[in-house]
Amino acid sequence: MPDKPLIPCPVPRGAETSAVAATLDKTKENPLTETPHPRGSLSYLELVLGAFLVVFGGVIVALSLEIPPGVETDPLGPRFFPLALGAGIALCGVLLAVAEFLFRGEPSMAGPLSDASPEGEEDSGPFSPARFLGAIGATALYIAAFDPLGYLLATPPYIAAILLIHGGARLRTLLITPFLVTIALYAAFRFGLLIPVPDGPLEGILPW
Amino acid sequence: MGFLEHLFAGFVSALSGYGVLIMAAGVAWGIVGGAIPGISGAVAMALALPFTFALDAPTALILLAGVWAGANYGGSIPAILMRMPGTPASAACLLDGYVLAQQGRAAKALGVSLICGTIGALISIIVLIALVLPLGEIVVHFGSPETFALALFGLTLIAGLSGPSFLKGIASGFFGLLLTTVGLDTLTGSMRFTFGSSELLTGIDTISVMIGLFAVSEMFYLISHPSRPAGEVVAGKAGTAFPSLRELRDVGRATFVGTIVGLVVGIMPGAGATASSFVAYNEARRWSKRPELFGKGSLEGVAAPETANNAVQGGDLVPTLALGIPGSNSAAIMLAALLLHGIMPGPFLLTKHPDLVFTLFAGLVIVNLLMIPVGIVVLRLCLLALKLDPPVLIASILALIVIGTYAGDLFVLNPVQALIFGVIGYGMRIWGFSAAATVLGIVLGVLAESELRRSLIISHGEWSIFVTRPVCAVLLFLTLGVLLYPAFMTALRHWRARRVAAAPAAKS
Repeated sequence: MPDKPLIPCPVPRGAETSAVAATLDKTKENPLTETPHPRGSLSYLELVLGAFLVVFGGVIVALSLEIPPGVETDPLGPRFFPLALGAGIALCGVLLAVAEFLFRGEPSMAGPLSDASPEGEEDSGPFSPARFLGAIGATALYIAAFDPLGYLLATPPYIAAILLIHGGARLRTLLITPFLVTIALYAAFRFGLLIPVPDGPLEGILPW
Repeated sequence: MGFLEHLFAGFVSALSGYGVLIMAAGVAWGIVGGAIPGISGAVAMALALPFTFALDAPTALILLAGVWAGANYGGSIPAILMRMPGTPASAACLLDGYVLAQQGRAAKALGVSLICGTIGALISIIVLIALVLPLGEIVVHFGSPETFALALFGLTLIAGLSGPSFLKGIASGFFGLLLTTVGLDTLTGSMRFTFGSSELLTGIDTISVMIGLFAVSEMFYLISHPSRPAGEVVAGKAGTAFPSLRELRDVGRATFVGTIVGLVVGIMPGAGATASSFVAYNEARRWSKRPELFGKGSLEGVAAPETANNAVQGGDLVPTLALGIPGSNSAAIMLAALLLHGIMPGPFLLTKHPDLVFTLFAGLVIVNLLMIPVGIVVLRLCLLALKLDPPVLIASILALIVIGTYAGDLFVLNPVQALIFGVIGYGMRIWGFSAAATVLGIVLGVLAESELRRSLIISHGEWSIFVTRPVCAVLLFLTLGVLLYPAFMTALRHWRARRVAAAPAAKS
């Protein structure tokens, strides 16, 4: 006879977290188990997200109207699909806001099998906006410098920047890693995959 | 050509050239990637995409299949040795795996994970082949309306499955569909959302978008949410010890349960490996002769979730290959790799490219067999990778992403797109939208639009074509059901809650 299940089945949303948390560490914060906002109270974030979807969908609809309409041989034409999608996104926004008003804080509009947990979630620390913006800025600068400076010159400062933004790297790591990673990736793409990586000012100086 | 001839040709194709080497490399990277927390199977696959630029489509697919299979096992390594699941799906494995490691039986736990996982994966591939071929026979009779309805149904179902909010999932799917409309319209040549940029005429780079949504957003998440340092390896000498025949017999029931659960859950689009491994753990315990050992270092407690986790791959590929509906992020990346090589994924993949599908079948068998030797060899490498400072790993991966997306067509706009979609993906993750649904929209978008328009060209603009054809009508009815289900359930819950609240009042 089957015994009583250790974990309720089917797995409820976040059950893996609760099961593991029960076994491992009950005190640890986990985004999967956190309730977005108390039940019964209005989530302004959900309303803002709903409004954003309405505006975004509206912009798409407006832009779609500039696309030529259908013709006799192609009744829908190139306009219909983006127009319908824009309207659909706006409708989702409206429904999201309405659902928030009606069902305040409940996981009301979960899908039919939304018990399935998303991949890629894990325990993590608090959000650091400075690190987030720093990483985006450094990556944007790196991409901007990628062609003019060339891969070999642009990459080590970028890796060093990411190490600094993240923090926690030892000085030796900070000095050696950028060059090691740059050379390893350059060799893999330039000589392994035979992909012409931009050399920037080093073009003509490098022997290959 | 008959089935066996096709399969034989598939094995020849998979093993030709550097096939074995490429598959072994894929498995090795998958195991290492899966072992590193934060790099799930899908992220490891996305990072491998740039390396497929130089390969033909079948080789690219088997490389990715290797990464996928490897990541399934890799996640269990830190789960068993360090009480830290490498992938969400391996979290169930640590319940007994870590206890076994504490008892000094880490090598045995890893061996059971490897062997049982391989058994589960191989059985699931046999079932995959057995199911895909007859399904392909049915789907071949589909016309444009049915194909459109199928794409719509798949999108709706997965959007509903893959996130905390159904509406946000649907909006995410619409966003993905919308992205496919950017560029020159293939039927009329009209420009859509190009804003005068010639670079956007060919549309948004699918690979950069996927890498952005999955990998860049993950790296930004890891940077902005610094986590606690990795744990210590519990067993000083980590290795792999194969289970004896007696031990294999003991875990036979759990392996069987895991395989069945993995297959069933895998076939359901969007249900995922994490759910399967926990369900398998429960079920194995329920049907075990010694359930009291679960949680105290039972080999069955390792075998069941790991078998299920690996068996999901075959199940996932059933809707992916037969219907063109990817069952998971990893399957969606496989389909995106096809797009990269100019092959339109969809329900007719098996009919139009049987050589490719059979090479994938053969490749799946080989990569799973390769998993045993590669898994043993790569274990040490995994432990080294786990000791790497997180910032080193993140910086290296970001640098790889930039050069990798650039390498696609030597176009600096590609890393720009990866960055933009990395930020969008981060936002989607934080605010509960579904990147998986967006990717599915990207994969299905071109097919959905072209088949919708083609249907209406055939019917001279009559929308009734979608309801007068039985298969199409059923699919659309199911789509409507999936769309209305959440609202119906919510209303029902509220009605019940109100009744319960009203009952005491009526009594008093």
